Amino acid sequence: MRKAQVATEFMLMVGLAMIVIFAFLAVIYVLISDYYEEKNMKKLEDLGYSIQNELILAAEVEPGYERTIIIPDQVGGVGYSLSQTANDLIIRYRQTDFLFPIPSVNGALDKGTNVIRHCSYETININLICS
Amino acid sequence: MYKKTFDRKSQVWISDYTLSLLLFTLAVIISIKILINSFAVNTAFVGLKADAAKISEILLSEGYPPYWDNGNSSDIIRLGLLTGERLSESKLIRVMNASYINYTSLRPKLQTKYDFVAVIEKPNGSLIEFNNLCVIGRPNSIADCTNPVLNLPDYDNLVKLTRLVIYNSTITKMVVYVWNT
Repeated sequence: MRKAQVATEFMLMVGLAMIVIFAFLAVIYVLISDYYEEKNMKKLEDLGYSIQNELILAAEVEPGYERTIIIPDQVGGVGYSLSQTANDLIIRYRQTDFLFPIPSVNGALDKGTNVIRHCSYETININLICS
Repeated sequence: MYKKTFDRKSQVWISDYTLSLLLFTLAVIISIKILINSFAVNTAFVGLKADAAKISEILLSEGYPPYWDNGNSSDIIRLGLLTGERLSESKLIRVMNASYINYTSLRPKLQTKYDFVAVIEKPNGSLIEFNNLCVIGRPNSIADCTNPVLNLPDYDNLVKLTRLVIYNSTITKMVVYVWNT
């Protein structure tokens, strides 16, 4: 009888401790995942601005400019997709689109190595040889 | 007699245990909260400083296209206030005019997500007005340009950055305030 009572109390206490620990872990998980999500978005935004700055720089300088840039496959360990329209660079991450206006260019940016060339007045080529 | 003593001890032990568990949990929660808060504030402040430098850098450029003030605000790729290394009155008038470009559209052009205000000051500290306007950024931050009092919302961190720039052959100051709430 006495042993049974001790065992029940032990189980009760362990159970209580487990509930508290699980609740605690759940709260920490939510906080950390929110923090990392925000951090990933910030990194992708920075990537977009960096690419935008590269293209603006290429447009501002004299013809003959050539520069190689590397766009990473992943940023902070997360995947994303890269596309572009006539005047916008689009970075998509989990249904969220980040739009960055860019000068009009010939060719498309892709993950990996990209060569940006200022060929002639208002002609920026990406991964294309100047004609 | 023996049984009664045993029960009492057991009860005391459970209450001790529960109390210590609660205290421990409370202490851990408070520590984590303090850690997260201090971490977040530092990150935000570092980000604010970087953005203040970036905003001032972008504003003190020609922008792209260089003569964006001749077109619509939707054509602006990057916003800059200089023409020929001097402040351009035409660009300043455009950027201060909310009907040309509103505050929501202005922030991405300056590559920031934080609230900001930029003003151009004379050497004596008074603001330079352009078509009766004197503020770039958050609307209603300065109600009266002749009596420049910053009317900012409650903020957590504020960064002020001053840079010198030439306007009408005079050295003036461009002051940028960036804050987060």
